[in-house]
Amino acid sequence: MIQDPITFEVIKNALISNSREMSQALRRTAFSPNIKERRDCSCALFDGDGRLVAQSKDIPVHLGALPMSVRSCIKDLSNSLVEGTMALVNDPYSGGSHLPDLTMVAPVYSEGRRVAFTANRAHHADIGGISPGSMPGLSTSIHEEGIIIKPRIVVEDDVLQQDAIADILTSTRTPDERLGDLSAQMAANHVGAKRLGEVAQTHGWPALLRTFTELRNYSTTRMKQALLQYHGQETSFTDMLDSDGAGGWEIPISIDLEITPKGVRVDFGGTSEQVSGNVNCPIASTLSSVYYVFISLFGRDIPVNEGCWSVIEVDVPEGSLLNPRYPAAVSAGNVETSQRIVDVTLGALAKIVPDLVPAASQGTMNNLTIGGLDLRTGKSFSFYETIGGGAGASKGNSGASGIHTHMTNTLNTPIESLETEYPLRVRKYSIRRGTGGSGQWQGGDGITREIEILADKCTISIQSERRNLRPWGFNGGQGGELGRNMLIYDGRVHSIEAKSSVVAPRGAIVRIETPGGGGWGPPPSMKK
Amino acid sequence: MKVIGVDVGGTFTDVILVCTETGAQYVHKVPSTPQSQDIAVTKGVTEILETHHVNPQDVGLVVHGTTVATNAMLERKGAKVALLTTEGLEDVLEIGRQNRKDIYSLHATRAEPLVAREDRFGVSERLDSEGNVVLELNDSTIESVISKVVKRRPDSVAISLLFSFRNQDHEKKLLRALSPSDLYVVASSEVLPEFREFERTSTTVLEAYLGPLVIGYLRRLDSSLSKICPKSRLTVMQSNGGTMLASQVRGKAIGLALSGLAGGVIGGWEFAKQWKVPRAITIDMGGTSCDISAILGSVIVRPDNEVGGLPLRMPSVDVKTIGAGGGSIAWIDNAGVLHVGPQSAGAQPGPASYGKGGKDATVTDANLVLGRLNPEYFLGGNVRLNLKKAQNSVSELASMLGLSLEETALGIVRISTANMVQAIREVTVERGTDPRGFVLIPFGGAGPTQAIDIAEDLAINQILVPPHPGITSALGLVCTDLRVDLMKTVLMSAQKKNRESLLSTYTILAEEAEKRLASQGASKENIRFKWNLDMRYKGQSHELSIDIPKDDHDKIVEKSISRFERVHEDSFGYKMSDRDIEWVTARIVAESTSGQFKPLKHSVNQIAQPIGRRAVLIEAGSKVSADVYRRWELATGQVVKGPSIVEQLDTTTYVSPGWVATQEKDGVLWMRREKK
Repeated sequence: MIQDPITFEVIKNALISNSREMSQALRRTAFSPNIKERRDCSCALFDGDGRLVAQSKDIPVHLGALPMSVRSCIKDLSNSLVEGTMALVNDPYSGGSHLPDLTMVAPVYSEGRRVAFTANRAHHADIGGISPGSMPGLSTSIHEEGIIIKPRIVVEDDVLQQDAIADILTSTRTPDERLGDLSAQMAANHVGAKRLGEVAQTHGWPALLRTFTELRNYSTTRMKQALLQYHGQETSFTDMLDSDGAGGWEIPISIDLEITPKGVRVDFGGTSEQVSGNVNCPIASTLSSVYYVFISLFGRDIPVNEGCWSVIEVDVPEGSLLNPRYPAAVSAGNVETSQRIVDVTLGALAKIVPDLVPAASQGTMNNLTIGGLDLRTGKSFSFYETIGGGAGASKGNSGASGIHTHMTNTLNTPIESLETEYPLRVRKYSIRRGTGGSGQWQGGDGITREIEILADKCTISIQSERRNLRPWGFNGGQGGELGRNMLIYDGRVHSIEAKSSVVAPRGAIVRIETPGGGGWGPPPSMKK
Repeated sequence: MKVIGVDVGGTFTDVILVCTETGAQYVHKVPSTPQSQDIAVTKGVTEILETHHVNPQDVGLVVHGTTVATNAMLERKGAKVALLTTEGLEDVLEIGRQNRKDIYSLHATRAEPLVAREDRFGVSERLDSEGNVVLELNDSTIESVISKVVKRRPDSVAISLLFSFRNQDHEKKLLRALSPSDLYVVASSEVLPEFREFERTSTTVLEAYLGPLVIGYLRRLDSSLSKICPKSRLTVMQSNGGTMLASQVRGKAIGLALSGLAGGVIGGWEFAKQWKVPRAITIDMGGTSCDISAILGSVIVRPDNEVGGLPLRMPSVDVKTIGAGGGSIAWIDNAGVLHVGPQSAGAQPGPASYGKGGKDATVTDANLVLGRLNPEYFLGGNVRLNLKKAQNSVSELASMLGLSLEETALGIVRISTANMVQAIREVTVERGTDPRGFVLIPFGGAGPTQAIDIAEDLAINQILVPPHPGITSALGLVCTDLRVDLMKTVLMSAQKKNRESLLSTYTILAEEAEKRLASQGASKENIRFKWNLDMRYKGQSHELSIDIPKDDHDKIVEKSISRFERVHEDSFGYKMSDRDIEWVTARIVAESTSGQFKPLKHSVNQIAQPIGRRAVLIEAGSKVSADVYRRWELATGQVVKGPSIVEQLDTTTYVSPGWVATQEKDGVLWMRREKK
């Protein structure tokens, strides 16, 4: 029961805007285009036990997974997380997602007592490993994907400790940029803690801490209520990943789902064992993807916090694709497999709420990294971006074109930023007309993006999906067009695999065509 | 000279006429005519002259705040635009930044582009990031693209080529080639010479979209006004809070996107200036919405904004509009939590207490239940409020919440207050300033009723209530200065060797600004300049804007660096010792006072007695008896202790216990927190 519904509402809004301010500070002070322009970062507030209290609406795959990182910092470092410190972690086997995502966690103290945490996650453009960008196309062990950071203290007395991050700066190809971005992450936590202190000053810590609990209970109650009307229904669904880049094809993800009086039980029992390639998805990202679907379908106006998820029970066999064992490679799991988990979960729920579920969206993030030596500066560069595609249509709505869907919501890299910062030139950036699946409502169209290499011998890495198996249509709608990757050099077009790392000469053009979304309902011409 | 201000609102068009010699002010209201705003404007001007027997020949200036551009954006009713872009990038406008608004929406949508695909044309040409030509733009290309454009029969053409902020040559060529046509043609290097192609393109498109409509409207208005007041010039309020001659708006129509909002901010600021208040928050709270703005030394003008989902990279007064007015509806969600707004009962059916069929409890109903409003004297007695109906609507919510009527009414006011406080935080705290120590300037019909609640939440100690809160926006128009904002991206490191180059950029900007103001009738010695410099650490792509007063230009390197480092540390908690610092954009604002505004003279000497007493609920179960005064009866210097209520034609000011109000000789009512 909420003790004071009015103070509750006031504090709730203050906490959300607090998280938003953290994100603003992070972007405004960041150095890499991936963070400052593409906003590949997320911020949130946690209670003293590491349970999510409030978040800014940034990147879904980050948000649902952040709490596990915060909790692993608490578990590993508990007593050393004193006032003025911040911890850093990226280890996918300690609550992380993939190595480029660095999470910085800061305790908040009141009168000597640790009462809350602020945390943020940002995708760094290079963290070492076998290929620039640390998103290799063909990795088969996590050790090929960059430096693994187990929870460690990197800020003491509010100052970033150079010796605590020395190994990170040695591993990365772009140490200056990393240092700048880590400072920005520190700034975000700093702003969050400062603002939380101000909220506490207005309302008092007791009211604030009470609201943390009330918020959780409130969201639990409302999620439970939203699901209750479907109680007793069971459903299942299977979809496949195209490939793992290491010889595995058509890798199944299966879900069994039951709405119970307590909420929902999700079981990924029939899913593939972990694979040799890098599409294994760490458990935090798996949970994050499932949570996303339930919030989108049943909790759009419920404040997102730990309470929303407490009604969702997820079973994932250890050693499977969605809960791999060390040292499986995972770099594409967070960005590609997460999208398929959404497809599978939505596919299953379509049998329960057919009018709410859209057809499959592009189902990939089209991760592109290009690295090499920038002759203009004499320094290494590492460019990373993801590319939007078609959104799936839903009853009453055609899907949007050229947009990021489901687990990501990063912005594009402005061409004028991209060409200023890297020896690259964008030749084409357009909507791939007619690639959305037809239907009563059309799927959204994909994007075509062509980037020319203006440096000698760059390494291009691609992690993409829906190159073999189309995003499905729903209720009679057609599937979206497949995506394609190619390298154009000397007038010849070479096709590139969905997961690949290639070395390209100056003048080569990498062309990515992203998938369209599925259509909804039978196309007008096919109606009887 | 007589100066007229005309402010177009959703319901009424407010007209104010001031005499610059005597300071006399006359006010008039006519119903707005949304289909063509100029009808009400012309009518209002005609009527105010007749009513107060003013010779139209004496009117030297009409200042206009209009929502023509804003509405065209909200309703998507602008011109048919053709867009020329670098070949291969015709879809930049449609893709936007590739993200969606709500991350949990499964039906992601975004604003339809203002130019259809078949009206977007790629031009074979290319510059690199330094502005060097990679692919020449040749004459045959120009010829063929123009013939294609003309075939589409657009009203206007927007030109936005990649890296044109580095090198305008290609855009200029296209401009020249299109100039013989009578189309409205604009180029991105003139509209917004800044990096990020989507933002620059969409802003340029918006100029082309609004231009024909806005220019047509102003031309029509100018011609009908010149028949009424033949010696008057017509100026319009811009989003940046300054005015410009209506005849010079061509190419700058987008500058009027928030024309209708800026007047209120300027009006509030005018009182801040008179009282030498450096830091203030203006709250214009009407029936459906509330416009909030922070003033720091002067009106804050931010570099960008958004209207109806359309990004707007143009200097605009930092006004935040939220759905919190007197008519905002209180409601309960399915988990039993009370919310207020953003839905509003508007004027029809209006709050439950209007007795016009409205059943929902609104903020006005709650204030009535609490005793702050007078059922017999609301909006000067023009609207009778039904207390019983207000109580019924509030008690319905109360029974659902399991609270008393009083607790619920207080709750509604508290939440509505909290919504405004949150918006105030966004324009203060989120921009790095602390609202404590600010003066609150509440106006609009509903502002002064809740001003103290807001002040209490923000620990603000002083409130300035303007003499006529209901017409403060129109007043703002007649106080406004002519203003020009100019900027130039310089992008160089903050070092001695670049000092001369930066200073010469400032000189060029100042000369251009001076020229523009002079052409609008300003005399050179009256022009004031403000200098700003956007700075960042090399590698960042967002800047902090640093003040660079003219006196500091001799030591611009040292002064700018030390100020930047201090602001960075204040905002983000750290500074970096081993990074280059960059000067990114030099900005200049030039202003010239258009007419001297004289404050009102409030000359009442006899101490007013309360006209009655009314019970006011201050917290659950606790009532106090408040004296009720009429605002115009208060003597100059008279002090009114809370709990009191001050009623006037256009608003009701509530003075709560612990506060005192003082009537000043210029008509302002100051409310201050009593020292404990």
